[in-house]
Amino acid sequence: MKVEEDKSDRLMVSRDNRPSIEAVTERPLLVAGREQNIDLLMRITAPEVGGSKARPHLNIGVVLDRSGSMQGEKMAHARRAAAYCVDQLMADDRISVIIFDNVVETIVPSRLAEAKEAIKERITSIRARNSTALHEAWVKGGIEVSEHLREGAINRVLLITDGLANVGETNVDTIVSQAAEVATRGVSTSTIGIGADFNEDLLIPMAEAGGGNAWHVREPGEMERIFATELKGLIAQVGHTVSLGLTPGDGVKVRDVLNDFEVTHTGRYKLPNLLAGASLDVVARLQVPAMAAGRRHKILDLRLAWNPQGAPGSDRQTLGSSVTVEYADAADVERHPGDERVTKAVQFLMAARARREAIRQLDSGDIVAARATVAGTAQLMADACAAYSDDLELRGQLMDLNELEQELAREGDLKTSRKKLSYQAYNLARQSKRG
Amino acid sequence: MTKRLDLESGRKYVGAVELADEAARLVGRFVPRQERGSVSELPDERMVRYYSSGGLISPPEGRQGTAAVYGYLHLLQLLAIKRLQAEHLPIKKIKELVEGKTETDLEQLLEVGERAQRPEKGGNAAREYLESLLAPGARGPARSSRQSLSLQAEAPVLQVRDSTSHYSAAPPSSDWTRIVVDEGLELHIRGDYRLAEVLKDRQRLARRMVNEIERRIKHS
Repeated sequence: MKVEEDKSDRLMVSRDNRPSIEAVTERPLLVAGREQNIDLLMRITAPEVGGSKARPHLNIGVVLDRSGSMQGEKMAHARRAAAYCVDQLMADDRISVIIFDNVVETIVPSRLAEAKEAIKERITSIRARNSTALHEAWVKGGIEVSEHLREGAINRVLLITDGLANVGETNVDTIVSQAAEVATRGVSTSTIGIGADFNEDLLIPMAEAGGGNAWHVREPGEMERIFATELKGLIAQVGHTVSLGLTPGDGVKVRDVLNDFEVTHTGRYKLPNLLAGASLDVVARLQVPAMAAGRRHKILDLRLAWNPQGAPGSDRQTLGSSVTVEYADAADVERHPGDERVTKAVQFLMAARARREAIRQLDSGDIVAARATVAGTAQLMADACAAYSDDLELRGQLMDLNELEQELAREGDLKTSRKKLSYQAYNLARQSKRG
Repeated sequence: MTKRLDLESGRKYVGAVELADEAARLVGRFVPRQERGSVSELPDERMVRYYSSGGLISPPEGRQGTAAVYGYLHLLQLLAIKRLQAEHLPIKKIKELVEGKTETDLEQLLEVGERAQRPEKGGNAAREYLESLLAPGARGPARSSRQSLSLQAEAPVLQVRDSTSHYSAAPPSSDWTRIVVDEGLELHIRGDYRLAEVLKDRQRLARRMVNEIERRIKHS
């Protein structure tokens, strides 16, 4: 099978600065003489950023919940994480800090991250109280960031909460569509949910629509690490507004894209931001026609489009490739071992779907069914990947599933189990591997 | 970055007063609103002399009689000082950031390009949109939804803000299409309305419309 860069697609920058796409089928040859379904793994890898190249400017609005439930350890870690964030910024980055309970207060209006001690002093004085005006606080955080909107910079609101929006606008659909609107105007949103009492059905879609990341902090102590990861991602961001178009070849049908990405009305898949050196696995299930042995057939044209970080909004880049496969007799095909990258990617994405199914079952009160779904998925994954059972990534996945199954069996803290299911499904479908 | 203070870049200011007056005229465009509790002073002659003696403002380009002649660089320096002061930087730090900087550096510090692209009052599409969400009674994207709601007798008639303009600041279209969706239900669509790209966003929009209708029926 061959992947060729489409020569007709005019390239605007040198290739070194561009992502690459590797397309792999489970076996390098397809069995001749019959129609079949195959899984195609498309691994999209963003370029490493050269050491000399300056990182993008950051313009960050931290929006921090200080409602009563944050009291104690959570508040202490949140303060420390926010102060850590300030420390990581360079003098010409911008930061603002907004705290909210039922009242929204701007304690650090957007400013250059120069006088770090003064900013941190204000953060240290934050104490918890009252209820949660999440929406208004998010909007005000966005206003602080947008006030200094800088093309090419990463303009992002970091919303940190442990509770439910219960003051002001509380409708999930409204808030999520607003996050999407704000993102199209240049300000993205990431969300950090703490503990078991926030609404993941708000915070995950809000980050997805808002062009940022969704994080779940189970233990307050994890907060600093999550902040560090978010900041690392911001600094590594090399492209945004990423989409993938798939055009099937003659006789080919795209049956499914296992990542369940949102689809634009032009039929393109909406992909997460490109991070330097990181890969995203996309799997498409294709129905391909019967062909004679020895024949070659183009099964797919793919087109990746993105906006490079730091470039003006009009500078959209594209990369086109076509995927061609070769047919052979079954005996020849069998001689080639299966490619474990494809098997694993398929299993992980199916496991993400199974988690969403388990959530539906939990929501309808059927804990037994949810548990069976999780257990069944672990079994399927173990069977499919039996040949490389000591693979670390695979073992991690199986452990996650086993842990979930045991939690569901105990019927203990279902709220936390539901959050784990949601965030694991979210992360698996946009899995980025470094290096 | 294109120079957006083009009109100013060739001008000369004779005397500290003229320079200070010009800076005072422009200060609102480049210095964000002051934080609470801080005293906001407009640039004046005294300031120009003070910062000149401290080396924050470069020596004048020349003299005309007894008056010093200043130029574009001096104007940018003065604006940059005010901007950094508004951000509570100590004078020592401000000096480091301003001294010896080129016109381009200072323009960047003042975000000249970005600010000047914005419509009046230094607004931009993101901020205008977000601010419209805070408007009393606003629910959901301000877009045109307020327009149809204000037709309801019980709803306050709100001024419709143009929150859909983009970076290009296209003039708002007043070209509306009215569609009768159902007996007693009309849809008004402005000529420049952009329907969300993503299917899920469209579904959300549809749900929101139904929610709005339900809310109103319940209330009446």
